[in-house]
Amino acid sequence: MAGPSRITSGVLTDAARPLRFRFDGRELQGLTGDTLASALLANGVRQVARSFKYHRPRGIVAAGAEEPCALVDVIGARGREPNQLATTLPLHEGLNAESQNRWPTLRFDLRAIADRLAGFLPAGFYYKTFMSPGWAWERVYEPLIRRAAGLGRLEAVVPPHADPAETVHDHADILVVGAGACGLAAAQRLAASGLRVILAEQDAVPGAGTMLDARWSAWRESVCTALTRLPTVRPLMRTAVLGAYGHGVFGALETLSPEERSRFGGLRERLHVIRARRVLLATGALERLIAFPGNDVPGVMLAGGALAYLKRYGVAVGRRPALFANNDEAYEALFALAGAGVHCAGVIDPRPDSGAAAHARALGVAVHGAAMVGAVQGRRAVQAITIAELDGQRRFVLEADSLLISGGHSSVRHSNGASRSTPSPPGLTPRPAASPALRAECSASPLRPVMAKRPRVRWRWISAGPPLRRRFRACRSIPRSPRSRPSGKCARRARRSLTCRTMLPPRMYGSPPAKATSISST
Amino acid sequence: MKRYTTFGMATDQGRIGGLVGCAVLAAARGVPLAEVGLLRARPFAQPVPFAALAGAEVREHYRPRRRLPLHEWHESAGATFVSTGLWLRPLVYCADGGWPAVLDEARVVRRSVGITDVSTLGKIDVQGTDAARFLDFVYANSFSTLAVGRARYGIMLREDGMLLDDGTTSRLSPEHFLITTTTANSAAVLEHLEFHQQAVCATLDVVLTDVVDQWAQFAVAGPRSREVVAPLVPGLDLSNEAFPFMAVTEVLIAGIPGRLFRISFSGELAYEIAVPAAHARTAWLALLESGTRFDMRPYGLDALNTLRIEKGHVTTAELNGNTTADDLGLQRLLKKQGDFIGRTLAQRAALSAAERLQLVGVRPTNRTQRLRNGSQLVARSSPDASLGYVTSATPSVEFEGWVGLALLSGGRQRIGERLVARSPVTDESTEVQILAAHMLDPENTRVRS
Repeated sequence: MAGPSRITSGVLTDAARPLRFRFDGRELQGLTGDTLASALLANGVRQVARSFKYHRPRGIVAAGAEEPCALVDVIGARGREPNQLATTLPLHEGLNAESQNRWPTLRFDLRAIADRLAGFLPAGFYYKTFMSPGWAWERVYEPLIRRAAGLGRLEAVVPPHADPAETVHDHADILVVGAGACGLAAAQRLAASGLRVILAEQDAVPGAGTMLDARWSAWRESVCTALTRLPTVRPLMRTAVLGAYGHGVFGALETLSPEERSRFGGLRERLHVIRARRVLLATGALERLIAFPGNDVPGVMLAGGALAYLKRYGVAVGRRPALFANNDEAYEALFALAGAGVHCAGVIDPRPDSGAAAHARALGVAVHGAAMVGAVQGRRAVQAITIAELDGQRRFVLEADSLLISGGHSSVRHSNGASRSTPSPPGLTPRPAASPALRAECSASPLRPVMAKRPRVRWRWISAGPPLRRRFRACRSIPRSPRSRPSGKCARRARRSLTCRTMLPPRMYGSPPAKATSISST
Repeated sequence: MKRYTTFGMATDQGRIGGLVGCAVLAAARGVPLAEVGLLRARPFAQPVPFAALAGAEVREHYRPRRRLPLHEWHESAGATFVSTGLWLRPLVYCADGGWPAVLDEARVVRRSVGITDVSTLGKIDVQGTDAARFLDFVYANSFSTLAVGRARYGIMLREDGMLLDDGTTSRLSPEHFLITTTTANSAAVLEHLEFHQQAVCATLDVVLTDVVDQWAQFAVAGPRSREVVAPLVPGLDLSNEAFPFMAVTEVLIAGIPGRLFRISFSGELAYEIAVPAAHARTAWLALLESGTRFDMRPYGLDALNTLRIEKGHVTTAELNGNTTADDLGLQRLLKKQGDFIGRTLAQRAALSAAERLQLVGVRPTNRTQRLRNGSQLVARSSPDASLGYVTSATPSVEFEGWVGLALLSGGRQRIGERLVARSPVTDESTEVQILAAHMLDPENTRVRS
């Protein structure tokens, strides 16, 4: 165990291999497999940053690439590299990170005076304020604004030789974005039918949401083993798909792990230009924020993030967490923490009652229905929460050291970048939007014991072209075991249709643009 | 909304708070959320380091160096190199540089004979039954009338009528031409030709091949050059009658199957010898050996520049994209009949207006004063009104002092006038005399001797 908040073993961490690192000069200990964020939380570090303009204290909010606050400077042999995301930065021995946008220290930041003057610095004030006198712009305003702007500091040590970098071009029949339950299952089936599949996952390991429930581990292991035996599938871990461009071209950034880095002569990133006939976006969902006063105090965190820190790294984000959620799925974090022996302060739910609330009460957690958070007390960390009942009758204070929030889920839409699909709002209902992985997690939750017996993933093609849909139907009837060779009429048909396509004369400007294909559970 | 609240501009690009922000906006406007819509994500979905985007194309890999087939020989001969295009070319065969070494090299060419490596010139092989028609279309002058075994100087225009490039084109057989281009423009010219072949002349039977790397080419220039080349091409009569100026032939040179051109950039009697790049060293050494009787020396790019400025030949300094055929005195090359790229727009009256910048020669009246590239030409009476500028300048071997080429407003009308070349950078003023661009041997007697 490294750090006071490490209460159990995580799926990714190795308790036998501790690592030492520094944050703001403090020597701390983490475990192999940690990210910087999980190691900081394990050591009880709550405040990791200052906000951009008002220099308000900022903590860790999420557990993945969606993190908005926990950016740090990393000081290494190449100098100081700013704006590194603590939630995705893998911990390594001797990592030296510093908080940014504060002076002189993170705890005592003189520029936090801006927060006190917030009334004089309204949103957008700088567009109108620095107009006159004209001479002052170059001599006064601009130097001051330049000093105040930006987050991190760049102090690069220019090496005598440029670090190696490379761009590679990949080709596939199908690009599967995301290696959660859905992405893994789809990649396995598609690859088994003979299609060339690239499976891109921004995380270091495949599995995503399946890592949050032990009951999925056997399934995950079996699919991953099957994938390694399929020559037609190419898993790309630590690879974030950056955007979809015309003519089936996708950009992806692969960040090499330290071991790979030394194997490839110091290569840090590899830019993939992927040309795929079709794309399958199995990108899952992101948790939604809830807007309330004080939702930026360190210790206020997304419920899904707290669940991930517990399951993946064995870290409890608080000793006495409260939950503010409007959906049953978010209770999962609370149940997991309670299951790990953490005493939960209570639940605030705007709904009068729900199945999850009843389950929480059965676990002995106080649930305040038809209520919401009125305020968060504490500046550098959550100390207590003011609860306001929706009918306006009562306000009372709940002692808590962290607050997990969840406003439902939205499907991830960032990867279909240039493909010009107009995003439509899923509505403000707290139903999770269409992430099979998430839904699978939900179905595996104690709320629905019937569905949790056997992990099942169901999907539906929304806009894949007809030939693919036909082929995909053909793949579905292939025997499920990955070890058995695809055979039978359907598999033959699937293979034949692929052959037919590849024998078509090449078009002048490459293959037709791959439509952005969403996937959702039925 | 975005401008005043920076909504969606945080480091997570609206991933977590985007929907809430849109809902707030919808509430403020009193419209349903569907009408407001969501943030539309644009690539990149994540921050990408510039290093990853640059890939391997950084520093020396970003701009590769092209080495001549004889690079090692030039190096061992003490050459200083200069990067032109992507090529490393010998500038002068002297470590410490300076004009005396350059002038020595140029003087040897004028008095006796010198040899230089011109392998960097762009070379495009054009073949096909329609090759002549294609060249007639891409060049402003005519090539279908060119006899086999002859070369012709040609100019190429852009579609807007401005000069793109110049060079000699040889006809090796009725359906086989070889284009040479300037070093700096070789890639652009090839691109230009390939574009027009595919987009405009798709029905013509013509194939373009870039052969710049396949052929090494040397220029042997000077009054004694015939005597240097003749022993290497036994059986070929090099006399002026049998192998006149602008003649071309395929011939064994020192036993190597190559090509011999009688073309000249220096203004002297000169031959250009092309051999396959793999045999460059053999041919070069054989030529040097043959030239020892005349104290033949290799000369570099600086000396070549000196020679061509004296002769008034243009290069990329004058073919700068702003000049027309008329500006450079090449208007008689524009063919009267037949279409060619740039024909219509080249006929705009403004492009041959008298006050346009025209190519002239300049020479300081005080022979000891130097000329500088980029000096502005002004009248003594109004020293702040630029009339043009010096494009190339060099100390001369044929004339006393410095000479240069300049682009001067109404230049051809001003020949004989005296102006001032002002260099605001070095704060120098030199009185110059305006001359015709062809300062040396305007009748071309030397190249035809």
